[in-house]
Amino acid sequence: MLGHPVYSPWRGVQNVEAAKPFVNALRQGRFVLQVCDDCERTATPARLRCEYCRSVRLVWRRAKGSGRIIAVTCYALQYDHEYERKVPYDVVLVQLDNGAMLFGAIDARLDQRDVGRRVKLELERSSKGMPLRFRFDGNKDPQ
Amino acid sequence: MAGKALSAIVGSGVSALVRKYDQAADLYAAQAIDRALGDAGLEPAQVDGMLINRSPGARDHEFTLAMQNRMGYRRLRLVAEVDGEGSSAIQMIHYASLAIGAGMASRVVCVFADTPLKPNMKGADAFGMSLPILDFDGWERVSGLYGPVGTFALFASYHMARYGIGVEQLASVAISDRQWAMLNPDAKLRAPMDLQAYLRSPVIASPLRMFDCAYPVNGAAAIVVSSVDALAADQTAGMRKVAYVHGLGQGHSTDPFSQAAADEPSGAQMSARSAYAMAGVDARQIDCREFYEAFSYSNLYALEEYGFCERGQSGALVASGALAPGGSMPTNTGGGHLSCHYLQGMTPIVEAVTQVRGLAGSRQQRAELVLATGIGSFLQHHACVLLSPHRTL
Repeated sequence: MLGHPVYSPWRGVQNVEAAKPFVNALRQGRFVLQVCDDCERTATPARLRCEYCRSVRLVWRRAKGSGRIIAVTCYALQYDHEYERKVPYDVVLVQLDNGAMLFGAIDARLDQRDVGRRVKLELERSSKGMPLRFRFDGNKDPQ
Repeated sequence: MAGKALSAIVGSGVSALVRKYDQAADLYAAQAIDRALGDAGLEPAQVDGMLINRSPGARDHEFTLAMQNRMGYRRLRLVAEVDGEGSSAIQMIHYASLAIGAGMASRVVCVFADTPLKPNMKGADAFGMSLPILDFDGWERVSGLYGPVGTFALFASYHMARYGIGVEQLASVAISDRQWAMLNPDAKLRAPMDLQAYLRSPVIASPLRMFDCAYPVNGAAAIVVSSVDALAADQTAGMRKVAYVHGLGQGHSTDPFSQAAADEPSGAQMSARSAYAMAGVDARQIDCREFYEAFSYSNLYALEEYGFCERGQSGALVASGALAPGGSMPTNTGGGHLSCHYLQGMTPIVEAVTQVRGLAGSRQQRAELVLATGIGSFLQHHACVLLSPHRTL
């Protein structure tokens, strides 16, 4: 927790090799996920084998970052004072339209009633250091 | 084999538990082992196996296989470190029972130690590490998803939205635990708590408040697992009542939210089915439930996945008071992780053993069949054990 004067999205990421294609693409403004070349299903990153058909042919492919919020939490306790986001801040768990589940930041104050709303990834912001940042997709229509 | 005990738990011991860092994890472990052996009426020389479980919250070097040397156990037939995250303590009982059944050992000490509180650290920061959701650990942390609390807050939010329950149901879990803790002199949090007191506790990561979270302590707990044959000889020497081990179960899933998971049994369901089948029982026969509940939500999850109600019905069940003293489904009868203490899988197993041995004092329940569970990681790793005072069910 100490000795890191500059915030880096790599800090603390332990399995760096597995994360590299994912993070490098984000830095270039692209969002990629692992898709199985045999069964076409999308994996939760980063698998070595497809969890549905056990195929080894998982490839990183550009993916749409749109989906639906399935859970939301708002932090009231600042665990890490060097962390760039200050409480209160929200984290959402999103079920992407391709079935994969991802979590990330969202620049809005949410509550339980926002579960079910459609969101999509905002890539310019995430490429600048924030790992994954969502924003609401479309108007207020929750369903 | 259904009906006949696999092994017997003959002693349990909990070390001093403190809310500050004052000594290394192995010193707590040694004290817990001494107390467990004293409780069992066994001499250290009678131990022929040792399994250890170091919490990720304890420093790596403080609690290792060197525990064998530290304890002066010159000749052991079984030594290993068990790591299944929060399911480890129950897993130790599994592996001890299996080794005993295979004749590899006859009396195995299983010990867990944790020192989540480090110098100059508050309790709230004790579990500031993140739980992996993606396969590159740490991504959660850089996303702001600090601590297991955030991950479990997301689980709670998901459950609340899906089944239309509110914070009152989470509160019911915490209040029920507290009511049990008030009957347990060994529990750490014993002040009366009603809904207003619960709502006054600070939000950590919504919807979870401080009183929805486990109470971290530095300390250790140990369990002595014996072969039933060795027990016959030891009991003539005046050993106290024991808890027979009748059902073992584990289940390990990947992520609980994926579309595939909807069609498959969860890890917890797999764990339940295995243990219930092994013991030849079903959930309705279980008298007490001792759940691993690092967060209040975990109890809702366990009630559903271990077969005590349908999915979506747990909120109504806890709100009815069924889990609390006097209720029809006594649950976490020592106060659980929220009000007794957080010694991970050891908190539920120690209380289960205490109930089955009839040593629970004013909180003693009918305890002919008691379930203890463990949960590791992102609801990924599950383990359970069924205990009874009867050698044959």
